[in-house]
Amino acid sequence: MMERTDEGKWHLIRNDNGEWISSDNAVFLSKMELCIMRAAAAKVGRELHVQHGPNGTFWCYHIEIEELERLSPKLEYKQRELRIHKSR
Amino acid sequence: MEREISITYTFNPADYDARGRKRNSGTTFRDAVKKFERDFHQVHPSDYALNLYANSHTMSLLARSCYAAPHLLYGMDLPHGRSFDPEQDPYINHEMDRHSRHIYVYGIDSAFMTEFAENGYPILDEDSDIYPLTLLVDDTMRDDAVRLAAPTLDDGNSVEDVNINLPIFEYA
Repeated sequence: MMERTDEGKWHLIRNDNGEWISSDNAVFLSKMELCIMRAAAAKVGRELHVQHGPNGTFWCYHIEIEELERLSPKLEYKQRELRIHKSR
Repeated sequence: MEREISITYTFNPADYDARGRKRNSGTTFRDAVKKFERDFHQVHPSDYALNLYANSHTMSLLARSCYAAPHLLYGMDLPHGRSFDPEQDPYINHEMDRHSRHIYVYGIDSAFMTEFAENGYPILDEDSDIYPLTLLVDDTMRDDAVRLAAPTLDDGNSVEDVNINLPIFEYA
Protein backbone atom coordinates (compact mmCIF):
# COMPACT_ATOMS: atom_id res chain seq x y z
CA MET A 1 0.00 0.00 0.00
CA MET A 2 1.05 3.58 -0.48
CA GLU A 3 2.81 5.13 2.44
CA ARG A 4 2.90 8.85 2.77
CA THR A 5 5.22 10.07 5.45
CA ASP A 6 5.72 13.59 6.66
CA GLU A 7 8.74 13.77 4.37
CA GLY A 8 6.38 13.16 1.43
CA LYS A 9 7.91 9.88 0.38
CA TRP A 10 5.87 7.76 -1.95
CA HIS A 11 6.30 4.24 -3.13
CA LEU A 12 6.57 3.50 -6.80
CA ILE A 13 6.39 0.10 -8.40
CA ARG A 14 7.64 -0.98 -11.81
CA ASN A 15 5.59 -2.87 -14.38
CA ASP A 16 7.03 -5.29 -16.94
CA ASN A 17 7.21 -2.50 -19.49
CA GLY A 18 9.63 -0.46 -17.39
CA GLU A 19 7.00 2.06 -16.29
CA TRP A 20 6.92 3.23 -12.69
CA ILE A 21 3.51 3.88 -11.14
CA SER A 22 2.16 4.48 -7.66
CA SER A 23 1.92 1.24 -5.70
CA ASP A 24 -1.62 2.35 -4.79
CA ASN A 25 -2.59 1.19 -8.26
CA ALA A 26 -1.17 -2.30 -7.83
CA VAL A 27 -2.94 -5.30 -6.33
CA PHE A 28 -0.55 -8.02 -5.23
CA LEU A 29 -1.83 -11.55 -5.73
CA SER A 30 -0.75 -14.94 -4.48
CA LYS A 31 -0.35 -17.71 -7.04
CA MET A 32 -3.73 -19.11 -6.08
CA GLU A 33 -5.44 -15.73 -6.37
CA LEU A 34 -3.72 -15.25 -9.71
CA CYS A 35 -5.16 -18.51 -11.02
CA ILE A 36 -8.64 -17.51 -9.85
CA MET A 37 -8.44 -14.05 -11.39
CA ARG A 38 -7.11 -15.44 -14.68
CA ALA A 39 -9.99 -17.89 -14.82
CA ALA A 40 -12.47 -15.14 -14.04
CA ALA A 41 -10.94 -12.94 -16.75
CA ALA A 42 -11.13 -15.73 -19.31
CA LYS A 43 -14.81 -16.29 -18.48
CA VAL A 44 -15.70 -12.70 -19.31
CA GLY A 45 -13.38 -12.53 -22.29
CA ARG A 46 -10.90 -10.15 -20.71
CA GLU A 47 -7.12 -10.33 -20.54
CA LEU A 48 -5.42 -9.88 -17.21
CA HIS A 49 -2.12 -8.04 -17.48
CA VAL A 50 -0.07 -9.70 -14.77
CA GLN A 51 3.09 -7.89 -13.75
CA HIS A 52 6.20 -9.11 -11.97
CA GLY A 53 7.00 -7.30 -8.75
CA PRO A 54 10.11 -7.38 -6.59
CA ASN A 55 11.10 -10.57 -4.78
CA GLY A 56 9.19 -12.86 -7.09
CA THR A 57 5.77 -11.32 -6.44
CA PHE A 58 2.93 -10.84 -8.90
CA TRP A 59 0.55 -7.92 -9.21
CA CYS A 60 -2.18 -6.54 -11.42
CA TYR A 61 -3.55 -3.07 -12.04
CA HIS A 62 -6.19 -2.06 -9.53
CA ILE A 63 -8.54 -0.84 -12.24
CA GLU A 64 -8.37 -4.20 -14.03
CA ILE A 65 -9.28 -6.07 -10.85
CA GLU A 66 -12.16 -3.66 -10.19
CA GLU A 67 -13.44 -4.10 -13.72
CA LEU A 68 -13.21 -7.86 -13.41
CA GLU A 69 -15.12 -7.87 -10.16
CA ARG A 70 -17.79 -5.76 -11.80
CA LEU A 71 -18.11 -8.01 -14.82
CA SER A 72 -17.72 -11.43 -13.23
CA PRO A 73 -21.06 -13.09 -12.55
CA LYS A 74 -21.57 -14.46 -9.09
CA LEU A 75 -21.07 -18.19 -8.96
CA GLU A 76 -24.05 -20.23 -7.87
CA TYR A 77 -23.42 -23.41 -5.94
CA LYS A 78 -26.09 -26.09 -6.32
CA GLN A 79 -26.44 -28.88 -3.90
CA ARG A 80 -25.74 -32.20 -5.59
CA GLU A 81 -27.04 -35.55 -4.50
CA LEU A 82 -24.76 -38.48 -5.09
CA ARG A 83 -26.16 -41.97 -5.36
CA ILE A 84 -23.59 -44.54 -4.60
CA HIS A 85 -24.29 -47.98 -5.96
CA LYS A 86 -22.41 -50.71 -4.27
CA SER A 87 -21.55 -53.56 -6.57
CA ARG A 88 -21.92 -57.05 -5.27
CA MET B 1 14.22 24.88 -4.59
CA GLU B 2 16.27 22.45 -6.62
CA ARG B 3 19.23 23.43 -8.78
CA GLU B 4 19.48 21.51 -11.99
CA ILE B 5 21.78 21.13 -14.93
CA SER B 6 19.79 20.64 -18.08
CA ILE B 7 20.06 20.17 -21.82
CA THR B 8 17.21 20.71 -24.27
CA TYR B 9 17.07 18.35 -27.23
CA THR B 10 15.01 19.00 -30.33
CA PHE B 11 13.46 16.58 -32.76
CA ASN B 12 10.89 16.64 -35.56
CA PRO B 13 7.53 15.20 -34.38
CA ALA B 14 6.44 14.77 -38.00
CA ASP B 15 9.14 12.11 -38.40
CA TYR B 16 7.15 9.76 -36.17
CA ASP B 17 4.03 7.77 -36.98
CA ALA B 18 1.05 7.02 -34.75
CA ARG B 19 2.97 4.25 -33.00
CA GLY B 20 5.88 6.54 -32.17
CA ARG B 21 8.14 4.98 -34.78
CA LYS B 22 10.33 6.91 -37.17
CA ARG B 23 8.89 6.57 -40.65
CA ASN B 24 12.21 6.18 -42.44
CA SER B 25 14.03 3.88 -40.02
CA GLY B 26 11.46 2.24 -37.72
CA THR B 27 13.34 3.31 -34.60
CA THR B 28 11.13 4.53 -31.77
CA PHE B 29 10.93 7.88 -30.06
CA ARG B 30 11.99 6.04 -26.91
CA ASP B 31 15.20 5.10 -28.73
CA ALA B 32 15.73 8.78 -29.50
CA VAL B 33 15.26 9.68 -25.83
CA LYS B 34 17.80 7.02 -24.87
CA LYS B 35 20.28 8.67 -27.24
CA PHE B 36 19.59 11.99 -25.51
CA GLU B 37 20.24 10.35 -22.14
CA ARG B 38 23.54 8.94 -23.32
CA ASP B 39 24.53 12.29 -24.78
CA PHE B 40 23.61 14.01 -21.50
CA HIS B 41 25.93 11.69 -19.63
CA GLN B 42 28.70 12.34 -22.16
CA VAL B 43 28.36 16.09 -21.71
CA HIS B 44 28.08 15.75 -17.91
CA PRO B 45 30.13 12.61 -17.12
CA SER B 46 29.45 12.71 -13.40
CA ASP B 47 25.67 12.98 -13.85
CA TYR B 48 22.85 10.90 -15.24
CA ALA B 49 19.65 12.57 -16.38
CA LEU B 50 17.03 12.16 -13.66
CA ASN B 51 14.18 14.30 -14.97
CA LEU B 52 12.61 14.48 -18.40
CA TYR B 53 10.49 17.54 -19.18
CA ALA B 54 8.19 17.63 -22.17
CA ASN B 55 4.71 18.86 -23.03
CA SER B 56 1.62 16.63 -23.12
CA HIS B 57 1.89 15.91 -26.84
CA THR B 58 5.47 14.75 -26.54
CA MET B 59 4.63 12.65 -23.50
CA SER B 60 1.89 11.01 -25.52
CA LEU B 61 4.38 10.31 -28.31
CA LEU B 62 6.73 8.79 -25.77
CA ALA B 63 3.95 6.65 -24.33
CA ARG B 64 2.98 5.32 -27.76
CA SER B 65 6.59 4.55 -28.60
CA CYS B 66 6.85 2.57 -25.36
CA TYR B 67 3.71 0.56 -26.23
CA ALA B 68 2.09 1.88 -23.06
CA ALA B 69 -1.25 0.37 -22.08
CA PRO B 70 -4.18 2.69 -22.90
CA HIS B 71 -5.05 3.31 -19.26
CA LEU B 72 -1.58 4.69 -18.49
CA LEU B 73 -0.91 8.43 -18.64
CA TYR B 74 2.70 9.51 -18.91
CA GLY B 75 4.06 12.33 -16.80
CA MET B 76 3.40 14.22 -13.64
CA ASP B 77 2.09 17.77 -13.86
CA LEU B 78 4.54 20.38 -12.67
CA PRO B 79 3.44 22.48 -9.71
CA HIS B 80 3.82 25.63 -11.82
CA GLY B 81 1.59 24.27 -14.58
CA ARG B 82 -1.67 25.95 -15.53
CA SER B 83 -3.83 23.51 -13.63
CA PHE B 84 -2.62 24.32 -10.11
CA ASP B 85 -0.72 26.78 -8.01
CA PRO B 86 3.06 26.19 -7.58
CA GLU B 87 2.90 27.47 -4.03
CA GLN B 88 0.24 24.95 -3.01
CA ASP B 89 0.35 21.22 -2.39
CA PRO B 90 2.64 19.53 -4.94
CA TYR B 91 1.08 16.19 -4.15
CA ILE B 92 -2.00 17.05 -6.12
CA ASN B 93 -0.68 14.67 -8.73
CA HIS B 94 -1.11 11.82 -6.31
CA GLU B 95 -4.66 12.88 -5.53
CA MET B 96 -5.42 13.18 -9.23
CA ASP B 97 -4.02 9.71 -9.69
CA ARG B 98 -6.28 8.28 -7.00
CA HIS B 99 -9.44 9.74 -8.52
CA SER B 100 -8.55 9.36 -12.16
CA ARG B 101 -9.66 6.61 -14.52
CA HIS B 102 -6.08 6.62 -15.76
CA ILE B 103 -2.94 5.54 -13.98
CA TYR B 104 -0.14 8.08 -13.94
CA VAL B 105 3.30 6.88 -15.00
CA TYR B 106 5.75 8.83 -12.88
CA GLY B 107 8.89 7.43 -14.47
CA ILE B 108 10.39 5.03 -16.97
CA ASP B 109 13.54 2.93 -16.90
CA SER B 110 16.68 4.93 -17.53
CA ALA B 111 18.72 4.08 -20.62
CA PHE B 112 21.47 3.08 -18.22
CA MET B 113 19.39 0.53 -16.33
CA THR B 114 20.88 -2.55 -17.93
CA GLU B 115 21.16 -4.97 -15.02
CA PHE B 116 18.13 -7.08 -14.26
CA ALA B 117 17.36 -9.83 -11.77
CA GLU B 118 16.15 -13.26 -12.86
CA ASN B 119 12.52 -12.20 -12.65
CA GLY B 120 13.18 -9.26 -14.97
CA TYR B 121 13.10 -6.65 -12.21
CA PRO B 122 15.93 -4.10 -12.50
CA ILE B 123 18.71 -4.11 -9.97
CA LEU B 124 18.94 -0.62 -8.51
CA ASP B 125 22.38 0.33 -7.24
CA GLU B 126 22.19 3.51 -5.18
CA ASP B 127 25.95 4.01 -5.49
CA SER B 128 25.68 4.35 -9.24
CA ASP B 129 23.22 7.31 -9.21
CA ILE B 130 21.21 5.57 -11.91
CA TYR B 131 17.50 5.89 -11.24
CA PRO B 132 14.35 5.76 -13.31
CA LEU B 133 13.77 8.81 -15.45
CA THR B 134 11.09 10.97 -13.83
CA LEU B 135 8.54 12.24 -16.32
CA LEU B 136 7.40 15.84 -15.86
CA VAL B 137 4.82 17.55 -18.03
CA ASP B 138 5.66 21.13 -18.90
CA ASP B 139 3.07 22.45 -21.31
CA THR B 140 5.04 25.65 -21.86
CA MET B 141 7.46 23.61 -23.93
CA ARG B 142 7.18 23.19 -27.67
CA ASP B 143 6.12 20.00 -29.43
CA ASP B 144 9.63 19.50 -30.80
CA ALA B 145 11.61 19.65 -27.57
CA VAL B 146 12.58 17.47 -24.66
CA ARG B 147 14.62 18.69 -21.72
CA LEU B 148 16.76 16.36 -19.65
CA ALA B 149 17.95 17.52 -16.26
CA ALA B 150 19.81 16.35 -13.20
CA PRO B 151 19.97 17.98 -9.78
CA THR B 152 23.28 19.48 -8.85
CA LEU B 153 24.95 21.34 -6.03
CA ASP B 154 27.36 23.00 -8.47
CA ASP B 155 27.39 26.80 -8.48
CA GLY B 156 28.73 27.01 -12.04
CA ASN B 157 27.21 29.21 -14.75
CA SER B 158 25.44 26.31 -16.40
CA VAL B 159 23.19 25.79 -13.39
CA GLU B 160 19.61 26.92 -13.64
CA ASP B 161 17.50 27.81 -10.64
CA VAL B 162 14.37 25.74 -10.96
CA ASN B 163 11.54 26.38 -8.54
CA ILE B 164 10.00 22.94 -8.38
CA ASN B 165 8.75 20.99 -5.41
CA LEU B 166 9.13 17.38 -6.41
CA PRO B 167 7.96 14.58 -4.13
CA ILE B 168 10.67 12.22 -3.10
CA PHE B 169 10.04 8.78 -4.52
CA GLU B 170 10.94 5.46 -3.05
CA TYR B 171 11.37 2.72 -5.58
CA ALA B 172 10.10 -0.67 -4.51
